[in-house]
Amino acid sequence: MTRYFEVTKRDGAARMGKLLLKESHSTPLILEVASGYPVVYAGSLWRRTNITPGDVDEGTLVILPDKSMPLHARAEKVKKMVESARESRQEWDDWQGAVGHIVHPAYPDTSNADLYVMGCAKQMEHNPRVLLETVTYIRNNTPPDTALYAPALATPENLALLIYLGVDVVDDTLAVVRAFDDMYMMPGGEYRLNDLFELPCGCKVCSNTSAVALKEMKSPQRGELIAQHNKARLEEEKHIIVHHIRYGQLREYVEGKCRSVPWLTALLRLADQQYSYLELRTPTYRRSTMYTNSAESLDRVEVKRFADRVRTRLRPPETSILLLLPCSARKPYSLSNSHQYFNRALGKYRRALNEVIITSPLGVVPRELELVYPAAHYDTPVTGQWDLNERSWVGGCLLDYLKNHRYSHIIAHVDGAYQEICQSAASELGLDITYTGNGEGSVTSSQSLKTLSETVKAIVEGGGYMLRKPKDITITMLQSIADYQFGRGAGDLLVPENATIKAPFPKHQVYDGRTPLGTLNASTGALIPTLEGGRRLMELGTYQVHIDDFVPGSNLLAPGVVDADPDIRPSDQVIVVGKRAIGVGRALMGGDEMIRSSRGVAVDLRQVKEI
Amino acid sequence: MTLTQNTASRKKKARPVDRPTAVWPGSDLLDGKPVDSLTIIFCTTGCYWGMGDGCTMCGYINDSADSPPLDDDLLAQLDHAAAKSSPKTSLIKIFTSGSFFDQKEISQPARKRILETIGEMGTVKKVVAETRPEFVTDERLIDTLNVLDRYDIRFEIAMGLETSSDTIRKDCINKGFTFDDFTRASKMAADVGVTTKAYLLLKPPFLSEKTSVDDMLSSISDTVPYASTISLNLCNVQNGTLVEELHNRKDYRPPWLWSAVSVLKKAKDMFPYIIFMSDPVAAGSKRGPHNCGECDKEVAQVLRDFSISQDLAILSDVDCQCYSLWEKVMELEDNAYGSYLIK
Repeated sequence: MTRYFEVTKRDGAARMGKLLLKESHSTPLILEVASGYPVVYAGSLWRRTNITPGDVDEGTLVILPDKSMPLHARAEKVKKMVESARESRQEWDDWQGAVGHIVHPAYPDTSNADLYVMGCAKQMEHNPRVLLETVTYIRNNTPPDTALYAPALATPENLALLIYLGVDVVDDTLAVVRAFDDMYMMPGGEYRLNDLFELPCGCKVCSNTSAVALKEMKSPQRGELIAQHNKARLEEEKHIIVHHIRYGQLREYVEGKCRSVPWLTALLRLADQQYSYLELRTPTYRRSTMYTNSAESLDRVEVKRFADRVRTRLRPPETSILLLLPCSARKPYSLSNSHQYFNRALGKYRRALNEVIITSPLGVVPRELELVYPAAHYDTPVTGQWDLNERSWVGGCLLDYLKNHRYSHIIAHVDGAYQEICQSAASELGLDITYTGNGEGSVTSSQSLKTLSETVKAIVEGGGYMLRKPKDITITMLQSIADYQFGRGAGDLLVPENATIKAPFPKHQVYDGRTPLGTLNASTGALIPTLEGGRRLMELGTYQVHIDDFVPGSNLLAPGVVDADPDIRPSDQVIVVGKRAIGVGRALMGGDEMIRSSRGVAVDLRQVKEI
Repeated sequence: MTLTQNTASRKKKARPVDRPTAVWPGSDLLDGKPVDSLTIIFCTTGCYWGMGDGCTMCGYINDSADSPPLDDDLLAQLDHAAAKSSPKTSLIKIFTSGSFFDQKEISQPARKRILETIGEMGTVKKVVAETRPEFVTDERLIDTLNVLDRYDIRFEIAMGLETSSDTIRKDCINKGFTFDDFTRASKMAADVGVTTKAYLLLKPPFLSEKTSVDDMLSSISDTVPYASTISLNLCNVQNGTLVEELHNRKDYRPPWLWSAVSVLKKAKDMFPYIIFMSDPVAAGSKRGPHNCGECDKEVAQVLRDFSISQDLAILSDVDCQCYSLWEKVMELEDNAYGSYLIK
């Protein structure tokens, strides 16, 4: 519960915020430790004289005096020191300003503070498990509107990972102290000055000197110059990271940044394995492109979550003929050349089919969900080669899909790796798949398109299968999108069978008679319910935010939230429910954060009605 | 913190009970002049405190005997040691890896015989013996003086005070006595004309470089009224100690030699009439006090030279490019909240 920190922007666990002291300081923040401003350590309790409350301006954040222990100190010893420190700093009990607490991983005491300082964080360098455990423990056990400080740990190389995991405040300690140890830092790693033949940097310091001149210089002048360079690199790295947070693309940046050393790669992989920490904080929808460039991309929340919702929320198909298709580079798939070829080849018979696209890394994308984030937003390197992880992940998704849904006919218009994946799923489940993509080389060759066309025609006409009306196909699509978004059953509530659909693909609007219920947001693939749409969704009980006895304005602030569905993620459409008002809007924080925060905007409200 | 592994369970080296743990001739200051000295570490049953909880940095319990030496064994140890002394030995330093005044280590009759034997050597002018303060009593002091006065030998007790901060001594060292215990013993000694030498410990575990340097300076000011000689002991990593456990896990770094230089410089400047000594054990190794690796030998030698000469100028006569790194460590390490910054 803090008056001094507010989160203003989130990208997964990473945040931008404001430390509201005498002046406002944007986070992520790099403290200049030697300046003692705006955060000051009152000092070790093993010192004879320390800073006292009288010495400090109330606009400064004070890290309370402590008896800090090294990383491997036993829990009982740390506990003893924590308790004895608490007794020895009673002069601070009445301090009214902002407060920082040092938290030791062996005995994490997270009692009330505005800033939590990771004790002995320096020793977590090269120790990804403990680092991850400590960050996640503190963030999970402290109010979301408190800041997290990792002291003496940041370098231009690891800063992106630290911030990605949820660290808000770092410092220049390593950049400075290592400079005096002749370590020259770059975003891609650090180098011994002695090993450098030229200075790989154009900063003010480096453009005015050379590697030779720097080596010949005496300390402390040499150290000061390298420190200036290191600090500039650290600051610059922060700005790049902030840019990526703003555009929701920090994950892409981090997947690249973690490559330079094994411990950072391990850190990202461990965080992905841990999953729930990142999942809880990762938005459901973005507008930005999702680049899945690395092996770790397969494990990112967006990929796992999409597959999970296809498995658990997707409504059963309305036809009994399945057509499996390969993905396309252009999104949504239906606008790509290849899918346009397929459509033309299928003609009206397409309306008897259930189309599912096979793709890495999303697994399987039902045609109905092709507009939904991240299906319409991902971009992945295409070489025709699929690695074993991709094959097993995509194969697993297909297997799950085929287990959950029964068809009388399965046609696969695929070739290459796609076909191998289909074959292995078919043989495992004992299914028959008709392959139509086995023409001369390409699924878009006239030969294979002809095979596709004739195969489908024969099946549909031979079995007397019904051709659905185009409008019904659109309704099914919107219902599927609603189910994906709010949970199974939402589609029937938000998109009735007899709904009127206005506006062309993909900007559909849903009406019940003359009453608007929702609009499809073409850039995220989310259905945006109107107030009436939200009212109808209430029956489902999901994605609701309960508020006190008041009528909110255009922003619902976190303190007004009484309860919230824990499944709510940032960017989700939510229904705000109170005694005196009902509203619909977009969540800016997750449900858990709404409940635990005392600051910040919880929901950006689009429509509110007094009741 | 208990050091259970430190005492009961650890295997000791088998040692003959009639040989001292160690003995070496050396050179020490006496009345402002370097003289020949002899240091004897008697092999006794060992420090009672070390056999219990023990101090976090002390591994001397390793040097104690498997079976309690008889009085005759202790005398045999002394004979063995005396054989290694220079014919002009003026100063004898008696260590037991425990307390010379603990009668469980050295019985009263043995103590008397040891002192008499030293007296009979004829050249000795001063005896220094180490003890914890709780064993310093009027009776034992007078007993000792009764023998030494016959030979006109001065006596000094040496106590491991480590720091004048009771909090640090308790939290970081686990020494089991207070500053008051030390001053009581020192005053008692002064009352019968016995001087006190105090050992102070630079950088017990858990302290940052700066905090430990500042603690030494405060401790020196606090201790000066009670000790004529102050020995600055630079913490090193001894077998079977908590400090070793911490060091192995990168939780502990022994002090920088620059820290010792800086403490001695300021201390000697403030208290020119006090003798300051420092013998940097294991200097330059990972387990001992060290700087960057380039200058360790030189700086360690400067500390030893200063201890003999008490000449402040020597301490300013040494430099290395790592000095400014040490300065930054001093400035920033407190803000690492438990970790050291540079190995």
